[in-house]
Amino acid sequence: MKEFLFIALGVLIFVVIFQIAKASEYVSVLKGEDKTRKQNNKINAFLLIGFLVFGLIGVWYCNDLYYGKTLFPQGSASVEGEKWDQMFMITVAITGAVFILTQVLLFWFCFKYQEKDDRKAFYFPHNTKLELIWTTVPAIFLTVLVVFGLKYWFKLTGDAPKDAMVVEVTGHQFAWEFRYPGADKVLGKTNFKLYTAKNNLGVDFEDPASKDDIHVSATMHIPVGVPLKMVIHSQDVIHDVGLVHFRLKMDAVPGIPTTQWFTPKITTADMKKKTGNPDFNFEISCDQLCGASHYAMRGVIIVETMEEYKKWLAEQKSEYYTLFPEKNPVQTVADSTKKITSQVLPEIK
Amino acid sequence: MSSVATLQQSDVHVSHDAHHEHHHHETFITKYVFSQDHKMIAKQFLVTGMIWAIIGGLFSVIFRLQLGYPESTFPWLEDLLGHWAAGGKLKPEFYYALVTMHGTILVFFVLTAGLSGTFANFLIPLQVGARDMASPMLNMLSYWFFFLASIIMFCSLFIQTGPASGGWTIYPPLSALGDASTGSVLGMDFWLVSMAMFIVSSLLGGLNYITTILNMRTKGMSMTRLPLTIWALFFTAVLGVLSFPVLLSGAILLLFDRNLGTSF
Repeated sequence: MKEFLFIALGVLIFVVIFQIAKASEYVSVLKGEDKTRKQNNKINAFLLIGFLVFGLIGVWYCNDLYYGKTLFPQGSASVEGEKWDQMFMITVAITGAVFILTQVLLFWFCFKYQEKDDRKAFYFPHNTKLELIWTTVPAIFLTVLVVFGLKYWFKLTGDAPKDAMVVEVTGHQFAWEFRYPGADKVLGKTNFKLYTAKNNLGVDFEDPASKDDIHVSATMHIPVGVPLKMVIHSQDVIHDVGLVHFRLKMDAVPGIPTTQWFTPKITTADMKKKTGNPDFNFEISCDQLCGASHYAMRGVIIVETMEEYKKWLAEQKSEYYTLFPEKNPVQTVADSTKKITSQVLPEIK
Repeated sequence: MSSVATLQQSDVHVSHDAHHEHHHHETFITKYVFSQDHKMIAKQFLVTGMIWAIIGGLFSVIFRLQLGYPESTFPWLEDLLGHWAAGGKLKPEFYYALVTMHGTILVFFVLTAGLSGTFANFLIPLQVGARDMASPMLNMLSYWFFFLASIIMFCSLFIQTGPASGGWTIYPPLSALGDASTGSVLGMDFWLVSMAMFIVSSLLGGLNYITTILNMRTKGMSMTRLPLTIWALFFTAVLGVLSFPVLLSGAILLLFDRNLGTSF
């Protein structure tokens, strides 16, 4: 019954619109079509000006209303991200100025030069000089913007600074895994054939470098002010390491490790104060549609001071000893955890 | 030079035939359905493109309702979509399916076929001063391949596991593995077959546009005198002819991977 009513309503609306259109057509015939056309033309010219004014006010109003809800006023949480913000603002300034200028001219000309009986349209088909100018000037501006973009892109995807610490980030449906290289600062080899439910990164424990590697899930701890190089993997489909607060993102492609580095410049605790939000957390979100629970593929990044980071790292057990406790030489000694982890603790200046 | 002369001669001959046919044999089918007239084909593209624009637009309305009001429920969505919106909330799988189909429909069926197909078919012969396209037959086939693609894509909206839902870029392995998501089961096969048909349509159309612009300009219409719209359509067609074969082989190889056990 409800469906029938909806269909009937739809048909009725269509009939009403059709009848109104027909009636207005008859009215215009009675009044004289030419006169009606000119009158409509005038109304349209006013409507165009109205559209321009209300449109620009609307853009301003929405910006005013929602700017605070964007991540922009927080500022970038990484040193490198500041450059991206700067680039974004320059792009907005240039394109925004051109947008407002061209839109105002477009609508104003429609109004100013509307059809009048005592005026004829000026036929102006071609002007090579003008066309060259309006092609070359935007081309130069766009090239400058693209060159700056490429410069920063090559910097962030290129070699990390020598003192950078390394973390391996691995995505799978639908979570993030992090592996720290341990005291030797070298990540052990991995091989997908070694994958088991427990060794879910497929770490090759024959490799001596893997013995001290630390594996944590979902939450990544990093120290503030130290460049961090991420080596990014995926185990199933394409994911994307989206670090929106740090203004970075990089695809995680199965079989093709990617890298990206950045320097966090503000701790999570400071950010909580800055934003006035006690629940604030830096987020690593999947930015590439990866399946049904893509929306929930989230990790947390805790940026902390070097002391806090070292303390946290000292509490972590290497993956090797977690998986093979019997191999742990001091396993039976009471309160041994601290001794072991202090051995594998990477020395960071 | 002689080839140009032959071409002009045959052109006259063909148009003479068409003229002949116009008076005596034009039936409803040849005039409105399997038409070889570029203006009628342009209108066919326009109408099909508009229908797709409405469908694609409605999809975006539905998923933006969910995006804008994540806490609210819309019971009428359940009436409309059944188990995909149980309790008046879109299921994540269906949200992604809507986004994917919205992207596919808008990019391919509306912008490429609906706009490019309509304006290229309508304007090229008129603005270069040709009687019709270089090959009206190919032009007709171009529309009907597009129509076939439309039918297959439309059918994919109604299958039980839902349409393709891996984003309109259909990146493998998400699109290659049926286990990866519900949209990668049967919906993806429909998507790929439909897209293969669509690319055939675009290629036939594109080759026709290029040939017409290069060979069938009227006397005195040099390339430098072509209107900018024709230059734009010409470049669009050239880019399409360069990139669509790659996309076609990509779609075919992905179909092989999914159904014939290959591993490209």
